[in-house]
Amino acid sequence: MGAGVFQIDLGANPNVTAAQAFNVPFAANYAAGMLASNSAYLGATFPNLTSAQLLQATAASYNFGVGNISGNPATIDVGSTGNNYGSNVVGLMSCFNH
Amino acid sequence: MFQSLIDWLGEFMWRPPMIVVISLGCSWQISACAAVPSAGDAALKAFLQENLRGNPQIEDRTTRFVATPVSLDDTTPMELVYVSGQRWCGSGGCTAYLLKQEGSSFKVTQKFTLVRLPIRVLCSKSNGWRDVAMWVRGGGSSGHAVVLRFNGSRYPSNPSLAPAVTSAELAGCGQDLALSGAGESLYP
Repeated sequence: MGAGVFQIDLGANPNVTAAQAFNVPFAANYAAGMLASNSAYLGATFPNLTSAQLLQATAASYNFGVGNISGNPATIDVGSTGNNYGSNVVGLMSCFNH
Repeated sequence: MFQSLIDWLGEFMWRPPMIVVISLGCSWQISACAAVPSAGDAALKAFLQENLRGNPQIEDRTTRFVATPVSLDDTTPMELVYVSGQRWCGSGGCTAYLLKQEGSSFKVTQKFTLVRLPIRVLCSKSNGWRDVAMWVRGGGSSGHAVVLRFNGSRYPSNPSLAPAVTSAELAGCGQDLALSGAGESLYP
């Protein structure tokens, strides 16, 4: 079950304690590490993805697992929350650029 | 954590299935009450290793699985496999497969993403197949239960898009599948 601001799944990440998941600095660093790892995996597995598509896929993978990314740019978000998790996150990122 | 899960489920009036079965006198049972090793375990593990391999150049040491036999059409023996680990889970949940045995191997009948336990098979049917209740939580979605209904050819594979289930439906006749988040490691 996802815990804390970054919704770290404690079952899938047994090296993280509940206290750590609710510790924002720790969880932020841990989540950043997962995103970096997912991005590296996706970049190596699907070299056809553009940098924008890789960003979207990395965001989506945080939601439903990197193994569920098909590599098809047209269906990156299929299976994620609302079928639009990655594109939604990328869209929200622009809010922080202003 | 278990206590918090119970408390959380309690908020949604999720009653213990044994009580429901007794109080409603439901005689229907799915084909298994516990995930026990079977003769097909080795074949199942081999099938999953082959089909969940992903990029073979990047080591995966975290994937785990747990399976339970189930027959959602009350006729065909199937396996519901819950797959967890860093590769198959995210903030929205993990991954599950509905498999049908074919000879000495298996065929994927259905894949589900964003799966959270427990998974509850209801007594109600849609197009001849049991309705399935799952929990949706995380990934920006508020916690609620949904029902997946067979449309004649498949179930919805993304629970986050399925309709919410009422407390009455959820508490009615049905049975939680015997799946746990721990499971068996897929790779040595």
